[in-house]
Amino acid sequence: MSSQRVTAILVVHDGSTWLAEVVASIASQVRKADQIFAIDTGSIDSSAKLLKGARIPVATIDREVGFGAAVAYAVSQLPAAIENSQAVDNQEWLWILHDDCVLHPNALQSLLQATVDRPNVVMAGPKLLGWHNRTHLIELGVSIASNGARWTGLEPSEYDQGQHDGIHEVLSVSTAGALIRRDVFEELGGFDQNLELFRDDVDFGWRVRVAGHAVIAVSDAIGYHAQASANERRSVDVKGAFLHRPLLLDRRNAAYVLLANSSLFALPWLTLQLLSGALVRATGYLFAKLPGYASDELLAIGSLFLHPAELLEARKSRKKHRLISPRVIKNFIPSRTSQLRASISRVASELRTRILPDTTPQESHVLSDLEINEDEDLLTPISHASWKTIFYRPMVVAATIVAVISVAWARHRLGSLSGGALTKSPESFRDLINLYVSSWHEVGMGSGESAPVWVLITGLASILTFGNTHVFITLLFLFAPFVILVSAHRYFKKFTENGWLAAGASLLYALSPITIAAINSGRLGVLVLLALLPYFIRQIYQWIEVDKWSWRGIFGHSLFLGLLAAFNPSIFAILIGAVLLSILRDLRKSPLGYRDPFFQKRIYRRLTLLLVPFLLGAPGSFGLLRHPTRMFLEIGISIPGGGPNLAIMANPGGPGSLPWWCISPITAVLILSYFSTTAARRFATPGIVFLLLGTIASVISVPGNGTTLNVQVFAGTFIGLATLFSIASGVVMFDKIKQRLQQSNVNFRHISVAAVLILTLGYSATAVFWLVTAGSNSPVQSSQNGILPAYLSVEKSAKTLVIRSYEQDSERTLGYYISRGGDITLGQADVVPEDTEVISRAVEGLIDNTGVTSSKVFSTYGIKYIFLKKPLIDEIVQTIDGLGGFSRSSSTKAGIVWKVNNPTGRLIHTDYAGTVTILESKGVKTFIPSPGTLTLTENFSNGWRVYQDGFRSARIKDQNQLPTFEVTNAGEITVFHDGTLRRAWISFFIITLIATIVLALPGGRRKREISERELA
Amino acid sequence: MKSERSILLIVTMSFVLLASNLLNFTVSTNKFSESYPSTVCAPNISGLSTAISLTPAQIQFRKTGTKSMKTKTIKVSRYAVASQSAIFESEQVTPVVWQTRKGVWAGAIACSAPSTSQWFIGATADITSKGSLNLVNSGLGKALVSVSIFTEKGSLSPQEFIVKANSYKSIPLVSLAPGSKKIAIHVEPKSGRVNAFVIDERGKGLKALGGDLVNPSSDPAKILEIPAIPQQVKKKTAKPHTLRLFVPGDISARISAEIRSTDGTFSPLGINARVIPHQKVIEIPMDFKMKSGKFALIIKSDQPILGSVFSKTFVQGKSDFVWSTSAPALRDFTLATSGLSPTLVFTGKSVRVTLEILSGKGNTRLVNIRGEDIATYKVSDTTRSVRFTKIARGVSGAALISSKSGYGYLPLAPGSVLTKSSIPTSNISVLNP
Repeated sequence: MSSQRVTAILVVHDGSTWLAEVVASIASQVRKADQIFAIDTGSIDSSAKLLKGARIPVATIDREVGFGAAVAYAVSQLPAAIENSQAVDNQEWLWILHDDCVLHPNALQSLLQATVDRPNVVMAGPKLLGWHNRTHLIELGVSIASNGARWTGLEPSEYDQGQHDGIHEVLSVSTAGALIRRDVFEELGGFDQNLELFRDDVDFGWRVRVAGHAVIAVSDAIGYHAQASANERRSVDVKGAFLHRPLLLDRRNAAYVLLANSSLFALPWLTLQLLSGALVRATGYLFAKLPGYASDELLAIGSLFLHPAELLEARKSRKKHRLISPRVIKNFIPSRTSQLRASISRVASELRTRILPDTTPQESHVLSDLEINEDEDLLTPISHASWKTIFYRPMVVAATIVAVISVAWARHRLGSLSGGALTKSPESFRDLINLYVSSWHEVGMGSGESAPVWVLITGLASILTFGNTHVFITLLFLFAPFVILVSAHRYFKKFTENGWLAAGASLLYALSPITIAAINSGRLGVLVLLALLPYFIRQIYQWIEVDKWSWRGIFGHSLFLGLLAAFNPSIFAILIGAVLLSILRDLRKSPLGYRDPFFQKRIYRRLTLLLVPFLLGAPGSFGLLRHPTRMFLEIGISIPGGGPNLAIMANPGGPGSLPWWCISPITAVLILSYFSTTAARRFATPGIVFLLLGTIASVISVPGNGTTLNVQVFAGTFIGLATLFSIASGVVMFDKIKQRLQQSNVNFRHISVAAVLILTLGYSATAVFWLVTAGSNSPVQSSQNGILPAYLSVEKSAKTLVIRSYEQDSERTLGYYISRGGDITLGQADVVPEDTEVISRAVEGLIDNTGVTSSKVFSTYGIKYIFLKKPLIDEIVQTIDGLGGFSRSSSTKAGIVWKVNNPTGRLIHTDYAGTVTILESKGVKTFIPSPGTLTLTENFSNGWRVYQDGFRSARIKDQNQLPTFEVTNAGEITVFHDGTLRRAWISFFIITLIATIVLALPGGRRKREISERELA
Repeated sequence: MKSERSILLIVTMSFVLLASNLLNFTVSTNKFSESYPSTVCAPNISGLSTAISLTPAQIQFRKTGTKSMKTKTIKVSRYAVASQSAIFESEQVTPVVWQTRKGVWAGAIACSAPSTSQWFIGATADITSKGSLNLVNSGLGKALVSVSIFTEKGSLSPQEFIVKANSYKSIPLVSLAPGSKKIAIHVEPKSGRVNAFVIDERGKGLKALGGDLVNPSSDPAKILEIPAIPQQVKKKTAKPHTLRLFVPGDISARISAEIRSTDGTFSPLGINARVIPHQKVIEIPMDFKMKSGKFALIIKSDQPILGSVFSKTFVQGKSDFVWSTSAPALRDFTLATSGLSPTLVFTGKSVRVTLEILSGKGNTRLVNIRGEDIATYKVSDTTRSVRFTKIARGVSGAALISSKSGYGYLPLAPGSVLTKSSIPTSNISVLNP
């Protein structure tokens, strides 16, 4: 061993921070290097001075020279290699040293020792640990993943417990502390000088391997590496580092290494992986608000592909030195499984850290030996709680109560749900997404309205149930009380240490009148609101001092408000009111008026909180400006509320809601806590405001979705807020009430507490009784028969006018709508077109016996059938029978069907002789028998297009307001609705959403911003 | 401070609640259409004469047998129909058809709105029968009508008939239930605007035995009130009456009867506690003579029942017969009486009815009818219409009409009642279960 000669080459570049320690470590090596030579690449700090002080010979070269060139220069300055240096006992080694890597005194000795019995080893590297935290493993050998990532096989900041110790065959080792046999180094041409910094180690190791040699990592040799260039602790000044960006250089070099060394067959796949990987990472950096890094990713790939000659040259050179099959490195490249496993492990670890943060104190007191009683551990009994105690936990008890009640309450809701405000779910989540993206909806006479965002959210959420929307909606309604219970508990437990009080309050919220009404009448929006409100409500207290919110918080809450408003348009009404009132208040309090910077700070934030949700809901939200009353509508079918007298009792009323005699304690608690001296009043005041607003709102009647009838507003949002505030105030008020009452004589407090308790018990008893009896027979039920008989559903393209009687305002009344071969499904009620007056009049004629021309009108608009659903009204049957123009198709237990006698369909062709033909279409294609006009029996829209032979046919709106096209030749035509505008809106939504998410997400940090401690 | 808060809260909540309740009126956008369905009169079939009594007011009318629904205006008090069936937009006035085979028989029936179920308890289908069931479809779509016949032997299979748009179909009774002496007919249109009329005309060889229009009965009920059964008391050869009963349900009925007349109220022999087998048409002879000219029969049953009384009449030397059918409780309506001069008979525990009588000169006078059990009023020749108002509970009535050709009976019931129908509004919730 003693015959082995070692030349240490220390490359220095602005490394004064670490250099003193590095030099000391070189000097303190047990096996000293035979020769030390330092190359200073134009350092502008005191590095050169330090080296001279340490009496290390230094050669200074240009500042832009890369690492490989610097080492090559050093080697060229060395005396000629020893003759016959390949003999084990006569080898000459180069020990490559970085100015930011300290070596353990045994490092060189251990490295040399490891090579003694391994004559094929030409490169050996130490185990690299962190500079700051010297227990964290950085590398023990290095490789490259197929996407260009530097692969160490270690977890991030993995603690070194010797778990990887030993001598391992690796693809390569870091150049920091690497021992390389000089003859091989020179034979292979040293480090590739195209790789001026970064990845030159992997490249060299790869070349060594295919040249038939071996590379090992030796854990007995230890180095502590600061990775100063990679961690942006110093500037990267090499010539190839465009804009001095280390990440760009690293990524470019990674791609270079892969493309220069891999086999020809692997290149297409690798190129694809590199491109897609760069795109994904760039997107990730954009989300982390690091556009510089994102551009580095893309520029790196771009700059490499701009110089293909470099790559070709590199491949040629490698081919020259390749002695064995390139497959030899296969074992050292991490498989995709390994990469995936590592990614999952990293994500899981990240989640675990966030969900279950380490609560153990970081610094523990050091105990003196005198304080330690070793027997104490043995004397302390080990606590073994019985498994039965789980049932004594308040939330378990509350959840059990909900479960028991739900068994009876939800007994008619096990299956595909519909009824009330909830329409049938489509078969697949794809139908919902189609509804969202489509520019034209086949609802009624057809609609070009934009589908609201909640349709998309529900569709995407259905992926959780493998795309089955039925199952998703059923589970949502089935488990809604549990979800609401848990979310409320997260909120209430912050106000009390009494678990039973928090659980009881959550139970009351989960079974409050508003929750019951929302579930029973199928109000999806209100359910979402009730479940999410407890997460959001905390921030409302800081609404006044909005200036204290960070912009990230503002965008985060805007996103959340956007989500709530997507499901509950009335959130906009509350937001507008709150913003306007707050602005007026701020203005009044600002000494400088609107010029006051403080006022401006607040107004910008408040307007952002209003505008972002508004933009996220576009273009539907713009419709609210034209019809502000629509802010008070629920999503889905409009079902009336119960009016002010129920609303003031925090019961929204309407179908499926609790009867008046189930009096909840919500209002009583609000009133009591309003007079409380505790903090409960802070909750009671907004609670009362929302309760009164709900009472006022419940008086308003507005035209509902898809109907010309006025519907009494369901004040669910207001009452939901009032309920949450009421229960929160109750929790605050009743927290530790027992002790307070025990300490005082009997007074009004005792009486009021008793009254609330009695009211709560009374409500619990009556509500539960109602829920398990009449309450289970709610408007929302499973397996309800469809409206249309099956035989009408077969003809999907045919329009059927459905007339049905129903009860409204205690009157038996009739409603009608045009069906497109089936019942209405989720989301369609929100995109319904406006009423067509001509059809309304024709339907009126069916009832009042004046509709002699009704059948003609129906055929004009493509209505093929009339279906009168049971229960039948005999007079109407007789009238339709008597009017003429209709022939009865069937009379079944479902109802009576008449066929309109005149032929009709979706596409009506009239030739110049006036002959009418009904055209059948296959998708968007149809065949025109002769020149003439083509009438599309859909509502007119500027998006309707007919193309024939590549030319667009002229479109007019005919006297019936239907789109009609002039077709000049016989032959095939294409009829479709142009969705460019819709696509533009979707793009706008995506851009707004991504921008808001990016602004709401925590920003990533550049490496130079990360502390040394975190970097290890 | 606390009291201020209390006052503020109380005032605010009270104000909001009060204001909300004051403003809590829903502007109902429900629309309703109120109309009297047009009334359809019995068709004039070959050999008969039909005169329809109307009021002098202008009335829209049309006839079956055309393809048009267009109506014409007429202003006559009596309209003679040569053929087909007449349809009148007569609103609250009920026109009355007086149909005769000159010198042979006469009968009366009110024009009425189409119905989805009509019962006829009367007529025969035996060898003497020359009667017919006439189905009128006043709509412009073809009608499908189911006709169920019940006889003394039980029920026959229902038969279905298609009646063309805006036309009528005459079906001989003998073809419906050949050989059956006692029949009851149930007409149920499956589709279309259909009215049914039954003519019971009889003859033995060349000898005419009379005829009548059988009025449709109300739906089966546990109490039947037949307000007017004519009794030819002044003639030595006064003919007896026959009560025809039918229990359409699946359980036989036990009945009791009460006769109300100016001679007093009593229970006739042989009817009380009698069990009427279900699904069979039963006839019970009523062999008694009343001193007064007409009487009412009230039948109570433990099962829904239908019934009518067949009476032989002799007027102005002419023999005829008449079917007195049950009548519903009297309600406010106007009966056109031009040229009929009917005798109105009211029955009830306490008869209280006010008649608004419109004379030919256009004058109206009020007549208050007061009585116990039964009361009668003879309408003069010059009267155009009679409106029944201020009717006491439990009163029903019928009109008896006589002419040279024969005798007729008409239950007092409106042919068309004000119908309130909701005008459908566009509402997508109809497509949600």
